[in-house]
Amino acid sequence: MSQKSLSPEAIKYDSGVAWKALFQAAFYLENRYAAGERANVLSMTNIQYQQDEQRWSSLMAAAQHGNERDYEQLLSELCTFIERYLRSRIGSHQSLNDWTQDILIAIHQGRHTYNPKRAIRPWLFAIIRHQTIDGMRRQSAYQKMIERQIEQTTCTVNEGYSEIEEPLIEGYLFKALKQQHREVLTLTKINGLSSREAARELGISEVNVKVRVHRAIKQLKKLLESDSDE
Amino acid sequence: MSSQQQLIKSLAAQLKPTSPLMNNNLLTLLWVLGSVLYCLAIIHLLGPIRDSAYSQLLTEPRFMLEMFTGLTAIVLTSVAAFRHTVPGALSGPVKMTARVAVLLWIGLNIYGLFNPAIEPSTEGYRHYCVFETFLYALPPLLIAGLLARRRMALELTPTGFSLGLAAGMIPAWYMQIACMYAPEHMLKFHLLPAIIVAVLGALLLKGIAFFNWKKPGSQYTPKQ
Repeated sequence: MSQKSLSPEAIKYDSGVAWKALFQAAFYLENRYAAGERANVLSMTNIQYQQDEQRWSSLMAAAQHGNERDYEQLLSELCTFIERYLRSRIGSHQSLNDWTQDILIAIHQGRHTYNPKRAIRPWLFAIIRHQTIDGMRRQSAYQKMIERQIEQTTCTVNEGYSEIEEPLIEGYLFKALKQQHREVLTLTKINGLSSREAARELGISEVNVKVRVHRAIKQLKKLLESDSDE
Repeated sequence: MSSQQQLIKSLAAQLKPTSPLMNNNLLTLLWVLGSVLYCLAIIHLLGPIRDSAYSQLLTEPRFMLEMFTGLTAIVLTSVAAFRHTVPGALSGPVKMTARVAVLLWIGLNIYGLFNPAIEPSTEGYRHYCVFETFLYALPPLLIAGLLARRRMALELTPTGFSLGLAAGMIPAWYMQIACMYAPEHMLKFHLLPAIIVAVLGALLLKGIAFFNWKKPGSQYTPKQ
């Protein structure tokens, strides 16, 4: 069998092809691995999701029969879940604890309305959404928060603006709002300024501030709804 | 122990068993049936019915369609309203379908202004139909309010409005048969009171919430 000698160009060409094939194989394997990992993570998340769903549902059913221990476990789990949920969406400011507690109280007051034959998440998210928006509308809570923050930072409301706003930026739902909506919400609902003061700060009319606040809350509510639907 | 742990402990302490809620669809069915029968009975008892109404129902398809759409709107609005009293029970499609049905019914009557389903006439005219529609709707509304009180309506205004609209539409719908047929008359003297009852429904739920409603976060004070 005669061996055919290869020219340097042919060797160069062949090695180029080999490297290309090697890279392609590596990319292919990497992609397969990543896809496999993703699939694993997704299936794990899905399993976790279903496990949570079933466990919470059965714990709530037990709570409806008066089982204190199961109810305490459920509320503890929900407390962690709600805090994490709100922190990731709205940001980690100080009202978060108040809102979480309000939501727990609402869950307690409405526990008789949960039907154990149905999924618990739609019921739970309806309460979370409503309480969060309601909490945002309650001026007094914000005022208290501002007072606490002023005590901590010992600066004036206006000076503390950027520091107060900072944690809000963490919440991706806040990021999704328009700049003008974020501004007006931060000034009125977080910094506790009146509509007139916010109007002066932004250089717009008082009516315009009210309209923007209304639209911002409406938009945030929509975002929360679509987010929890996902 | 953090404040949240304290709260959880105090919420779980001396937990009382709760009685399950009646199925939404069954409750709606009973309320709609009861309210329709009550309205039919009281309208028949307290005044004459238009003589030609039932024969028109059989011979005039457009009139039949108007009545059928009205009844569908009542049922769907009631379904949506009672589902609204349980967190997360009302889905978007149900809400949308109910709205479409109500708008369709109103739309058919507005269309009737230009092209009436049957020849408008003053036959069967009831002198106080506007007050009748309003007053007959009040007992069903009150019952709906009491039923909703046991539940947990998160959005009081839309829930109350839907309950009121469902209650108001029942006598308004049957007045199409009991009173004279004229789309303009229907819109002014039958539908308008129904909308007023809807507003009243929203105020009623707000009122109940103001006094003793189990509005989330409004009453509970954790044990110290």
